[in-house]
Amino acid sequence: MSEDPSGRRDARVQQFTAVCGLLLTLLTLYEGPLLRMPWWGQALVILGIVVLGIAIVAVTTSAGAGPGIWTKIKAVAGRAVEVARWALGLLRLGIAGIAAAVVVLLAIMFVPPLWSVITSGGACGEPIDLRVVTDAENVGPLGAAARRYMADRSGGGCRTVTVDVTADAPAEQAEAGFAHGWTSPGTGLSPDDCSSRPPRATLLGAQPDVWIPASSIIARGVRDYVEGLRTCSGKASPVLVRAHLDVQGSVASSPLVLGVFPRSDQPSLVSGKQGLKSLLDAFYQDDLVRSLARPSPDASTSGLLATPLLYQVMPGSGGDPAKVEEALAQTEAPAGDAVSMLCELQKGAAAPPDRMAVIVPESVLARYDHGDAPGCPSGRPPQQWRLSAYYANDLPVLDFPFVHVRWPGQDDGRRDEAVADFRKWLQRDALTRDGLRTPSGRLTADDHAVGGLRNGDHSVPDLVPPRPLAGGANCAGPMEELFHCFQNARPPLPLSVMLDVSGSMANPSGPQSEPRLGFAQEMALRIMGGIRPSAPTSLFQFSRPPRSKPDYRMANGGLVAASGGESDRLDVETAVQKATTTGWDLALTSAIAQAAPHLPLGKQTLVLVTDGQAASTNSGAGGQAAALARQIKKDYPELTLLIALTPQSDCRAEPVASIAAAFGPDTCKSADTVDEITSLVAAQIYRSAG
Amino acid sequence: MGARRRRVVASVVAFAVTLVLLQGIRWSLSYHPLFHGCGEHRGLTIAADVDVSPDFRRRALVEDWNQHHPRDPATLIEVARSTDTTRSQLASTLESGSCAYDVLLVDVAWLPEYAHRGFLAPVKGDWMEDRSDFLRPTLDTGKWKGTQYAVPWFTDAGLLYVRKGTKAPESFDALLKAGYATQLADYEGLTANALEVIWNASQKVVLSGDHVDKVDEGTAQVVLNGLDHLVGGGSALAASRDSMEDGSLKAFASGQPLMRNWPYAFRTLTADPRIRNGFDVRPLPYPGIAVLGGWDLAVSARSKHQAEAGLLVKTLTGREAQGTLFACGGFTPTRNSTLRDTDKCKDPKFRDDELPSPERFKEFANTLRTALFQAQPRPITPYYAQFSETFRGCVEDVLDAGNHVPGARRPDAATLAKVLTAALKGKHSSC
Repeated sequence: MSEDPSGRRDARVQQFTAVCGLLLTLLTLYEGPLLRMPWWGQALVILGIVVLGIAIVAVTTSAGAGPGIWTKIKAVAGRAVEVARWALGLLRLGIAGIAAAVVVLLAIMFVPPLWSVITSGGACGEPIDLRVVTDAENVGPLGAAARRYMADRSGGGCRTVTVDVTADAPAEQAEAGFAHGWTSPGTGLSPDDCSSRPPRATLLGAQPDVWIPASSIIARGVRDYVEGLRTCSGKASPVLVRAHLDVQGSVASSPLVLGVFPRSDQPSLVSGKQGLKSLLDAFYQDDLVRSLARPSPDASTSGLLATPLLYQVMPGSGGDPAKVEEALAQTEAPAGDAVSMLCELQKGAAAPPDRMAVIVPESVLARYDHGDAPGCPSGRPPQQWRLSAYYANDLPVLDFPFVHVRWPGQDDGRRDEAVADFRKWLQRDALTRDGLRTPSGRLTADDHAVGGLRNGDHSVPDLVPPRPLAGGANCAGPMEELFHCFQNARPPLPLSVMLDVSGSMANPSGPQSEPRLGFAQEMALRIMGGIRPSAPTSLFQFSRPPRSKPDYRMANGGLVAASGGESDRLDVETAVQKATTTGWDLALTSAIAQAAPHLPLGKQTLVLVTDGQAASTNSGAGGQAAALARQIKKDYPELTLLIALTPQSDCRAEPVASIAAAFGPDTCKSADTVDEITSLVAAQIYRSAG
Repeated sequence: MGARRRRVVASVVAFAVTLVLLQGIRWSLSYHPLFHGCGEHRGLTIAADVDVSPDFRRRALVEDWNQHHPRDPATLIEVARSTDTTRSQLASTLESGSCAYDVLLVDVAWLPEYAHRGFLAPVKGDWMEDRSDFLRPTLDTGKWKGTQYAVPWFTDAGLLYVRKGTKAPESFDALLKAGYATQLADYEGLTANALEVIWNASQKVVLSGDHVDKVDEGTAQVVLNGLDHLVGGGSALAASRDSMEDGSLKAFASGQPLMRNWPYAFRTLTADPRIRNGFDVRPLPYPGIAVLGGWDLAVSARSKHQAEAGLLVKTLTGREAQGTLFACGGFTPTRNSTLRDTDKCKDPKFRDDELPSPERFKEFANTLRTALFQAQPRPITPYYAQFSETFRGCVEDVLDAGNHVPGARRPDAATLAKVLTAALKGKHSSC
């Protein structure tokens, strides 16, 4: 440095300016891209700025060096060394302050958690709750994997995470749910009014932090749909907020297979046949298989994904989707997902349906045969109920993508880390022990359930990689195209539902002792969902005010909502969900007679949903039913009447028995579950539409 | 400037600069949520499981509130049918600081956990109508470490259902020998049933209340001896190993003469055309100690409308609401006056034959009073979920060993004591 006092003053000014400039530069730059760098990157940047500062000061204060570039460089280098020494000296002066800052920061980071451990008396800290939602057919394997994960993440016996695995809603409901706080559509919260507050809203379950649907087609379809909507922000409405979906790669895979019962099993027949068409043709031609059951696309992604190919190859359908749906409906297999379909088929039946084959995921079939399917009778099924798997090279492969879901107002660092950790754990092929293949389709040695399908002449391929969806154009594409294709194959005929809302419908019944009306509402929604969205639908509700006369006349025949097409179908569904019990029994024949003038003309179905009422409130039912049937057949010759009963009600009890006798033997349907009764009603609707 | 002073100034400046820089790096590395804060919602929200009560009575109460309080309308948000899933939703939401829910319907078993984690606001005096009218045991279910965090809404205790024409067992031992339909599947029902068997077989109330923070070998031996009675019980008990509430109801409706179930089954069986009035309800036979269950209403500590939420809680747990829930909805009330002044459901839409007769209903209320008087709580601990899961695992081991399931091993008292003590501290292990 210069010995001249004014020079020393200048140098100090320059140093002061350099320090201030450095600090300002750091503070200004400390945002944006710098913030996204890892800690070592940020440290390098800061060091770089310091070096740059030294260089600038060195260059500007080395003026006056001798001529020649080399002289100038030597002067700048010398000055840089002087400035660096000065900076180091400054650092040494302030070392106590730097050390104090580090100690303070470490105290902020580590003292509170240490204190918590010291004062806990050896008790565990609180685990974080992770809410995982997955395809209904995958709940068993993922639940088993989640239990292993929780055990794996228990240090010293203390669990750090609790994982709750539940089944997801059908894709259309899930789309609406992710867009609006995971609320069920039609429960009255208006998505257009973020401050709307009806008396009740139902969630589709716990809001997921992780969503693992069966296929990336569904994941991408839902994500794109949700991102395209105008929705409520977390600040405007924590209840109706939109989720952010981050699709992060597959965690497992499982191909769909054709499953046959022992009576139809003949591997030599189909040896060398690769496509589903050739497999089915061989089985049908030899009369080994006469019907095919597929999980309901309303409840199962595997059922939905199998549909485009089935529309092309189903024997006897001539490639007509409507004929294929009719044929599938006639099997009357319970209308649920693959697991519940297989379990319900077994219940109460001595033997499997004659020559029925099923299309289900390999993992479901393997677990079912192994006795691990939740909901099925415990233990391995009897030999005659076990299925053998046949592989077609064009049946879809489920690829189970992992979707990280963030709900504004509920996402924080701890939850984010927990989700990331769970994903990393799953992506180490954790699900192969539970009947699933690796994401690339490889069968591993620890997959005993699928490995167990190899027996006798049955081979199981070691590799079934994910492949594009097979099927016709405009059908085997993105999610919306799939839905559109399937829905357009459904019956287009008008459907009217009459809901009994008398006091007895408040009483409990059903598999979970819910009010009969609750069961009836779910049944009505599933039945409505079974026809084309553009088909006209109507909802009637019937009862009479307490202590009124039995010949009470309902306003408008009891009609509460009607839709002419797809755009207002939601209004009818919302009206179903809002139904409440209001009065005494109105005789079933009177209710039908009052509704009739409000029905459209032409081919249609009228479904009466009731607990069957009592003979005492339906006196003279025999004669009235006969007269009503004559009138209906005259005025509405193409109308099909169906009576769908709530559980514990009997088609042989009056007054239902008289109505069934007057309208035909297939008029009354009863079952213990919504899946079963939906399939019975759907089969009948298809028959009447044909 | 002297050297010392220069050093001090430099240290202070360096301290400030370093702290700011390091905190900046730390902040930049931390997670940044989609938005900070809580948001805002108009009106009140109540988070609960799905209402499956007869005629959805809980929903009707909320609609009544809305009619009388148009400025503070309430929305009942029904999460799921499963109580485990509902618990998972509430815990996740509250833990993340969300203010989406104002009032919470809390299973009494979860309350200590929620209170311990700071999720609940202490109950203020004007949030309860006539505190002295509540049944003492039910009021205690809403307390944690002496502070009232919730108001009891409806309660539960195990009852014995006996088909007409069957002689009711006079002692619990006789009941075990005869066998009965109950809930022994691997869920909370197994915990409740196993505790009832242990208490009644040994006549000692162990693993109960808030003084349970460890289990000694003596207590563990009492537990094992009690469970041995369950192993040696009648065949209906073995058949109940896969049953939850509805499975045992189905067995009873199909002819099983004896059943242990919760009070809700009274209304369900009365409505079942296969049963109607063809059964009686009694407290559990001597010594008659039942597990005390139930659900309380609490105000979320995160709620921005705590005063209004407290008023809603007061209304929902008030005399009039409880009377309606009991008479029409099949819920067991938590108020003395409601159990005493039994009256049939006044809703005109029910015909007389669709509801229990007034005499039968009064008899049922008396039975409930007796059962609730004798009922005892499960362990009151913020680690109840871990305790219950571990306890059930051990119970299953005892039952499997007693039924000679290959590979099953009956734990000894020392192991059981160690495992349950660890579970009461939140640690997971197995017998």
